[in-house]
Amino acid sequence: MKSTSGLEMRELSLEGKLEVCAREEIHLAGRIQAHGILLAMSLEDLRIHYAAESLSSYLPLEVEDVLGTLLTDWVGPEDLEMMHQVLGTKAFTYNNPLELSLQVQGQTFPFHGVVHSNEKFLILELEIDPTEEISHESGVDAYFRLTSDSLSSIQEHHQVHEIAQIVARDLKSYTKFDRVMVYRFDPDFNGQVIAEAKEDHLEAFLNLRYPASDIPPQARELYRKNPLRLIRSVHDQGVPLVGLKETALDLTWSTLRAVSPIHLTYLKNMGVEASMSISLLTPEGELWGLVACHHYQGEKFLPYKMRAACTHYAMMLAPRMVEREKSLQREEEAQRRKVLPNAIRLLSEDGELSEKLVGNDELFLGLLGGEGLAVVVHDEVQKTGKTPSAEEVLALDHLLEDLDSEGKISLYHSFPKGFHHQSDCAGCLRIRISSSWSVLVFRQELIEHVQWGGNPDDPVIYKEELGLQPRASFDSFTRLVQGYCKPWTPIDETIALEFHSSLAAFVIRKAQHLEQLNTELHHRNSEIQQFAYSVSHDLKSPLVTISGYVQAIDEDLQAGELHEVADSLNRIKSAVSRMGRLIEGMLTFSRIGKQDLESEDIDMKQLLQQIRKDFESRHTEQGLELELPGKPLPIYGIREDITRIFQNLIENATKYIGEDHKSPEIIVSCSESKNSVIYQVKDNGPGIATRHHERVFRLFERLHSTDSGTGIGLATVMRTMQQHQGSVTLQSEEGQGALFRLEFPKQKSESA
Amino acid sequence: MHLFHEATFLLVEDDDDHAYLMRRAFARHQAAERLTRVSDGEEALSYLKGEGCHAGRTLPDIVLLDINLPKKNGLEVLRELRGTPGLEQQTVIIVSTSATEEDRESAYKYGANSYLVKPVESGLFQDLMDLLIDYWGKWNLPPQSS
Repeated sequence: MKSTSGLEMRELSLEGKLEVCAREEIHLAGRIQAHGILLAMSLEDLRIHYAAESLSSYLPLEVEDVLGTLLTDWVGPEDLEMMHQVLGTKAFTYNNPLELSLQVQGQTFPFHGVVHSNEKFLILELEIDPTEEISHESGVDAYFRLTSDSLSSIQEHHQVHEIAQIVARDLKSYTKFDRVMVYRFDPDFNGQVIAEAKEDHLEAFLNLRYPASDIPPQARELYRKNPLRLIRSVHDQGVPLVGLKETALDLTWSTLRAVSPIHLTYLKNMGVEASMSISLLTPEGELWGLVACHHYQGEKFLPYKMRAACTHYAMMLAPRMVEREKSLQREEEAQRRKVLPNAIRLLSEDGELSEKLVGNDELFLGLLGGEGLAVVVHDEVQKTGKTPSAEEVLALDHLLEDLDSEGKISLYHSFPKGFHHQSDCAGCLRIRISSSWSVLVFRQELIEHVQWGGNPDDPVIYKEELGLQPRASFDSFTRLVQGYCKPWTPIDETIALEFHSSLAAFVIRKAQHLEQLNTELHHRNSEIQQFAYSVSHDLKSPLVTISGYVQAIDEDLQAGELHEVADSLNRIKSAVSRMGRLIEGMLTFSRIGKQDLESEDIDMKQLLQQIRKDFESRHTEQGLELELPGKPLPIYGIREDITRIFQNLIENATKYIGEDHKSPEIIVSCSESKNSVIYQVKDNGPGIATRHHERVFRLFERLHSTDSGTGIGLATVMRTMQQHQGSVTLQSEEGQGALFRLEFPKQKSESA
Repeated sequence: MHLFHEATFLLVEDDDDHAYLMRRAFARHQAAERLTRVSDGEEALSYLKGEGCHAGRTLPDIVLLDINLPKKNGLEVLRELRGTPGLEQQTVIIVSTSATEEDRESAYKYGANSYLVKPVESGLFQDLMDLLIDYWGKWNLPPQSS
């Protein structure tokens, strides 16, 4: 440990003091526990570089006698061969311990030898069992004795803490420690006792929490590498290692390594006399939890074979707990995911989103794991279940938008500062679609009495005479935790993210729909304006004519000039009928797509024959030829609309073809492509100049002053084609005739 | 300088009946021969610019311009006129059935000299024509004697 003077230490904050603890280089402590001998030899020539001072307690030798000598001076060739075999395998714990003996001054001293190596040194630890209960049981037997019971007790349905309870029970009965606890670390490495087996008279520690600082990071790292640590006695201050050089020996893998004085004090403060801890690692090798064994009635030793059995037991059981924990999470996730397709389907259907969310609150709250739900769209709040008031929700949403205006979701275990509310809620999950579009899921406040094993705010104290000290009080310390909700889990997060994507898709669809409606509305609006204009102009025009001729007739009658009266009257008649046609046309146009008529597959042969009949009754004298397709393809649409389209186009052609044409003809033909049926109406009239093509489909547009038309016919055709999801285009040049091309979709049209 | 000016007119009117009634009014003022008629916007421009078959025409003192015309409407004609060298000053009177604000505003914006609405009320059409022929055809003096 790097030296920090008392004065400096006193001035350190809590974080500073913990920092000092975290700096202690415990794997280089340079001491081992007194119940054994440690020798470290260079791998090259087996020369002894380090020896523990405990050597002289067990052998008629001093450290100086062995340092610099060769191991072969003390160990026979069979024993050396055994050690080499162990080092040749990776599984030290399986192959240790070795029954070794040292030859000193003609005498043989037997030991349980544990051998391992690091990069430079072969390390030999010779344990003396102070209890003298040298077990003749083999390691494999010890392991089976420990595990056979557990294997049959653990059931498929067991919860994590139930498995942990079996672990605590088994290890307690196997090791005979007074208390065996199973800790589970949270992501911050605060530990909680999730299972405990103890002597009846001892106070229960079950459910107590211990702050992460109780096991500093470098200790956690050692736990990961070397999964079992036995502290035979807290009163053993340890014996120093003496080396040929001053550099410290790395004792990471050592079984005899002495523990830090701070840790010893920590244990003493708890009244512990001996302890053992076994790491619970995930299959990935991360520290998931810890088995802590406490002994209160003097020192406690466990032979190496039994410790190895404990290590293997933990290696076997920890993954089962980890897996069970994960599978329970998966089950919960699957359970909640079940409603996800339902929720997505609901969202993808038409309808008001807030109504859907509020009307299916049980479904959505179950999915998102909340007790209340609010939708905030453009500062409008819709809510259901247990939430703050609408004003409070809005204020919160603004606050959270300021805190996170980028992310898709954000989770709050407690509300941010500055949010004031009257509700029982304490946390929320915010799903953010845009700055003006979010969903808030609320959770109720969870008032919890958390028990700590001692005051978690004061884990380390400094005492003038003793230096840095762990806390002395382990009286359970109950703290009321308020203002928090049940924590949001990774499952909540995953599901919220998926919900976000569905919701975003819905909102985008909705926006597109709105845009489309807007365009349509805009279109309608301009049509209404055109209508209004036409009323002011096109309908007024014949009225001007009528009143003008009426006055002319008046004057003529007064002047006795009767020769023009009849003509004026005819003019009035035609103006009146023009007005009638206009009104009729406007009514037809305004009704397109508004009547409740059914689409059907139309037999075009019959429809066109009917049109020809009407046509012939009106246009026989003109000598007009109307040619129809031999096998007209059917069209899916509204019969009345399709009839009008053809009537209008044929009438239009008739009107402009000119009376003085030598062989006027109109040809209707049809063809089909992959997706559409195409009809063409072609005439051999004067045609329409390209620059007017766009105009002809406009409402109330006419190209000819002599026109008897109303300017509604082609606009009606275009509008009707649009209603049928089809299109109409004009191909024509001046003097070349005109061709109107109608394209109808083949598939059944939805809105027709 | 003469007190009266016998102005010549170009009538741009697609409606044959309206054209007949106006010509009849001019005839009563013995001014029918001073009225020339074209029936759509394109022809009006080609006449005023003296293009094609209208080469050698005499520029009228006053254009009576309808708004709702085939091919090019009256407002388009007016705007184009104001951008045509030699025709910027041409006196143009809008004579339309439309009384909408938009049309009136556009007409004056493009430089119409007057805006008249064809009346629907019985008797008023002839009265308006009488006033028009009297004021514009007699009392009003053009920018320069032609």
